[in-house]
Amino acid sequence: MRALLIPLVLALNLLLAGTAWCVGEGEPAPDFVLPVLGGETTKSLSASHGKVRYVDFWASWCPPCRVSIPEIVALQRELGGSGFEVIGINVDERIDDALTFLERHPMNYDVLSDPRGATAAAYALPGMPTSFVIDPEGRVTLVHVGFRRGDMKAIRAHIVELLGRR
Amino acid sequence: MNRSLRSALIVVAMTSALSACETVRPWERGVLARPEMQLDPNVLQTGLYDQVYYSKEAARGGTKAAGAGCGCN
Repeated sequence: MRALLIPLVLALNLLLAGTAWCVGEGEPAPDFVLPVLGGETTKSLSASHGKVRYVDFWASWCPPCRVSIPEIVALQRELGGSGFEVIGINVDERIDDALTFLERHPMNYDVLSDPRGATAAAYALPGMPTSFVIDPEGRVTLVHVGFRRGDMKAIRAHIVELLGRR
Repeated sequence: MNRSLRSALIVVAMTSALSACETVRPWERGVLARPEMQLDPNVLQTGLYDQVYYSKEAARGGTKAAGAGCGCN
């Protein structure tokens, strides 16, 4: 047993070296204050406290993000209002790439810019895109990694259920 | 101090330094996803060469691996 101790500790430590854990369901969502993409104002998560929020991290270079955007736009069109809001967070390092993408794919919700990835790091995204459903009290209730056509069905059902509980 | 405990502590201290070996995080792959970062600069030409190669070998496949630069999903 004692002979096993060092290899075990070594393996565990190597495994955990540099690991960051994604913000999970039930945990409080880290607050952020970020500039609005292409604008001069800033927006924070806490500013929309009391609403159900869908926070979507995306980038112009990520193909699944391209698939998700039209479905998120439809979600905001359908449910957006006093009780629900979509917040997009773009993580492109070159803001011009994001602005060009935004011109081609207009979004009907606020898109914030996080070119240095500070907020992405705070949420420790496990992949791109990653989206979080946040309840009115600021707790993460759903984490969705990646995106395939039709994934929005389950996310929408979850949001509608949350809105019904309010 | 117990000898094996001391050894374990030294191993922990040494391997902890490995956390400095940073991996590229999913949101940092924008540059890697740019066309000029592709291993294969001319996809169409490679497709043509593959076609000729498969015809000569009378077998296909085995020249590619799955994966994309952006690390999506």
